[in-house]
Amino acid sequence: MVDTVVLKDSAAIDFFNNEMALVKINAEEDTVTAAEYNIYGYPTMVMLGSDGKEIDRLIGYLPPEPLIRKFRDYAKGIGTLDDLLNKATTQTNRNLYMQIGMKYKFRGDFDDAEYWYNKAIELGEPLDSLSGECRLALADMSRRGKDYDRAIEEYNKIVRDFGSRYAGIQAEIWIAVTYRKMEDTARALAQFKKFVEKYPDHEDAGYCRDQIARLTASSQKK
Amino acid sequence: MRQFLLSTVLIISLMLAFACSQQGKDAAGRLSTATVYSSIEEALATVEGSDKPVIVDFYTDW
Repeated sequence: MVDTVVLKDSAAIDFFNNEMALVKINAEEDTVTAAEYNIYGYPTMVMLGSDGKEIDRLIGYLPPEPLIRKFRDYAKGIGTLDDLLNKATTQTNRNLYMQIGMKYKFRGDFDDAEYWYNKAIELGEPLDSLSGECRLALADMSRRGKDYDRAIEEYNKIVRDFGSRYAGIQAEIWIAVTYRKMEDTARALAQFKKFVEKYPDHEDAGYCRDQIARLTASSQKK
Repeated sequence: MRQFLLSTVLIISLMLAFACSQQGKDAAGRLSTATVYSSIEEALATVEGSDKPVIVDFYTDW
């Protein structure tokens, strides 16, 4: 069925009317298609060639201008997974490897993602910031794959190795989030509280306080 | 009298803007809607034979 959607941005209207064909799918209703495309974050915009093959995808919100620019690049084959893989045949570049890992992760291809993230880690210092980001991504894939015990183990190792640096702090929050996902309210609460005590002025402390309030309220109801 | 005329012009302008928005046009008469397909197959059939890509926007209401 063909319908229309009202968009505020005139450039986006022109773009979707003239350069692309736009499909909107409510992933909560059409769970089969969402699963087929390994959709796990919203919004996710998947670009397909006219042959139906995936060119690339964008996860999360982007304002109209960069979004259009990105899709125009993808249409020309710039910055796509194929483009990056092609570059990786001639370049030894950790950032490039991490980007490839991220592209595979976004597609739900965790095995290939793991390969490229590990390649990025192995090529540099094990405790530099890029290794930290890659290790967070690896743990995130364990969590998304519902291997919660493994995810907790990986996050704990990151905390141990990175301490109060970016990756270590992020891992502390993800431990709490993973416990919450496991419905282990007691451990989730303890971890969120631990975070607030350790980093009371951190930008994510507010989120943790909110989670403490919610989890406390829900545990009191039970 | 002048106040009455100003009010009338304002009301007509608002009605016009509302009518345009109902037709998917902004106050300047430009198209403010984009065509949307409800299935990937339908969009692919539309772009068949062209090099026009299809963008599939997966969203939720929450």
